[in-house]
Amino acid sequence: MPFRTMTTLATAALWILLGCTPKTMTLTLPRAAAAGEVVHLHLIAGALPRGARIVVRLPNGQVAGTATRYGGRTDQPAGEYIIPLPPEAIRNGKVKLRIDVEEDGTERAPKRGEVRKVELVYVPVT
Amino acid sequence: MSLTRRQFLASSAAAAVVSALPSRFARAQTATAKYHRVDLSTSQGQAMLASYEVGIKKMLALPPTDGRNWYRNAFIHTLDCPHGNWWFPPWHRGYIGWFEQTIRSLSGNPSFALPFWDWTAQPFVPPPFWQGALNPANAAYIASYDAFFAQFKDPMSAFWKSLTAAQVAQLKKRGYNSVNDLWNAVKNPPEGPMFFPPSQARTLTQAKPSFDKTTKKDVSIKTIKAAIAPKVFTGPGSVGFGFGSGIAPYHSDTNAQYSILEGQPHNNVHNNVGGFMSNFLSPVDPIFFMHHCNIDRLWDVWTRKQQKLGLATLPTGADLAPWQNEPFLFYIDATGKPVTKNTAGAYATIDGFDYDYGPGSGDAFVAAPHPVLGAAAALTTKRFAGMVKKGAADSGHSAETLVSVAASMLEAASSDSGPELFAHITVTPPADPKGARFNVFVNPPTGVPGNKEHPSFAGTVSLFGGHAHGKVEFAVAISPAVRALRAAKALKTNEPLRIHVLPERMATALAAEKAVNTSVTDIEVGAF
Repeated sequence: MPFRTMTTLATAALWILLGCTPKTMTLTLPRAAAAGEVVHLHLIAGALPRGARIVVRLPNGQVAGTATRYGGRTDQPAGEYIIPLPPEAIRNGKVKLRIDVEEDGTERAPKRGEVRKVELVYVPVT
Repeated sequence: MSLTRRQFLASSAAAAVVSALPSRFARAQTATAKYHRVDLSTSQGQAMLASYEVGIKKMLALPPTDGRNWYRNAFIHTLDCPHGNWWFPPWHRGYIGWFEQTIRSLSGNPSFALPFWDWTAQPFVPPPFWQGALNPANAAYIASYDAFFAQFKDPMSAFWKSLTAAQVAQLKKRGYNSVNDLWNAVKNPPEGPMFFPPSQARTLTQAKPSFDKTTKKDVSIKTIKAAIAPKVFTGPGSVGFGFGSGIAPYHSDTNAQYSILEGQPHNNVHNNVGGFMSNFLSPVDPIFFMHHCNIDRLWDVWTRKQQKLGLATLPTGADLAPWQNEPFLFYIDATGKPVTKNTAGAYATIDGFDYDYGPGSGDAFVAAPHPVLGAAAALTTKRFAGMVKKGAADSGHSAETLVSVAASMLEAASSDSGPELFAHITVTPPADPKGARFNVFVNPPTGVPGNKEHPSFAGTVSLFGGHAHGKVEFAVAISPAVRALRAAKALKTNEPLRIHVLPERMATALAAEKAVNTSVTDIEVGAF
């Protein structure tokens, strides 16, 4: 898959990925996080090979988190994940991310359907 | 607003309560559980690992017909474990808690408690787990799937025939319509393989025992901080925005919605250790129980953080009942018999197994002591969040809350020498608080509001010191009422306590408004 950069339009911090997944993306926050909230990433994964994981990184290469199933059927979606984002991940109301799939010790671009949805969510915290 | 002790005046039975608070708090500082789960890297933890290995060998040596056999015990996880939903924390608490009792029994160490693997501090497979029976590649373990199948085929078929209709129904939801489905899942993709020969028992090796870089990030203190931070157990909607993963219709549901704790450190540690740990027969690897002991410890850290902030520790409102009532039907006790505590709610707190945790990563994220309850709230872990059934109250109309307190706690508190139970109540006071006071009742009879002669009457707390803005918190001792109800045979310890708050206006408050509209917003019951 060619390297692509995509940016969300308007105010929706959401990607619904019907086709190939871009390796990098920019999500725009509709508003700043309020007091008592943090912004995290909500990622919905499709079917993944056993042991594979989706790795989410920030532009500086820092790993934000991963989506990897434990057990279950590899022919079924791997589920939904909340990936914590550090405060420095948000710059000017935007979050830039890079998404790879790690399988058998090597990284590759996500295949069609492996990443189904990516969005920023506001999580109430203490 | 939070009241300081000077700001509320107790009257009636509550007067003794307030005067008794400091000593109760002091007692809480020295109270300890019977069993102590400590970091496995400590000298105490190493001693526990020695007992653990003795117990493992005994379980490996038990015949496959015995439910306590090492592999049979692992099959409980294969058949019943929830993942990616809000029953992940309580199910694993129950599973490792009953297992701990089996090891305690078989090891001959009556003080045995599971040590935890603090992978934030030790992001590698600890050295003892490459030795002896703590290593699943050891000769004590079965060497091949064929040998495993040969030994366990008939015992598992007999086990399947012994299942209750309710167990069979749960297994069908999981996709196991017969024991053959189970064996197919253990052996073949897309669900398997779950069994691994010694050369593949783990992916990590003694020479290279460290987690990979990504897994190290997922167990880092930053990720743990994020996992502990959610304000609620269950987030809005069905997505796991809370601490405890997403809401599901039943615990074997496969539409996983992982919280940070489950999706990041939990899943990645399983998969990075690899081999048995990478799939649902993972309890074959002895390190499974130390891994989940740490997950349970972090649930306890989150719970203590919530308690200190006066926040709910369990699902709330209409979510609470279905969460509590979900049946867990496959646990066995130290004698190999099915247990009687077979709902999720039985594992909502750590009281049932009477253990506590030694220091570990994440403890620092427990917030500052509660402004009202202070040091006592900071130390106790025995708190039970309530569900507000009817919050609004006025003269003659009480607010009602339901609090599911562990039966063991209620039974203990029913005796004169037992722990003191307090209700920590948060109310929105009337606009004019002058002369307002709150009468508290435990399990009052229906249709007779405000009978202070009844055993259900716990006490009265009066506002003092002028206007109250925002919410007001107070604590009332309920042990005397619990004991009186028990004596009157009006207490069922397996049912939630109904705690009523009935506001009234003292007649001496001449200038006050007549109405005393109040709203109860939160309640907890705790032992001090």
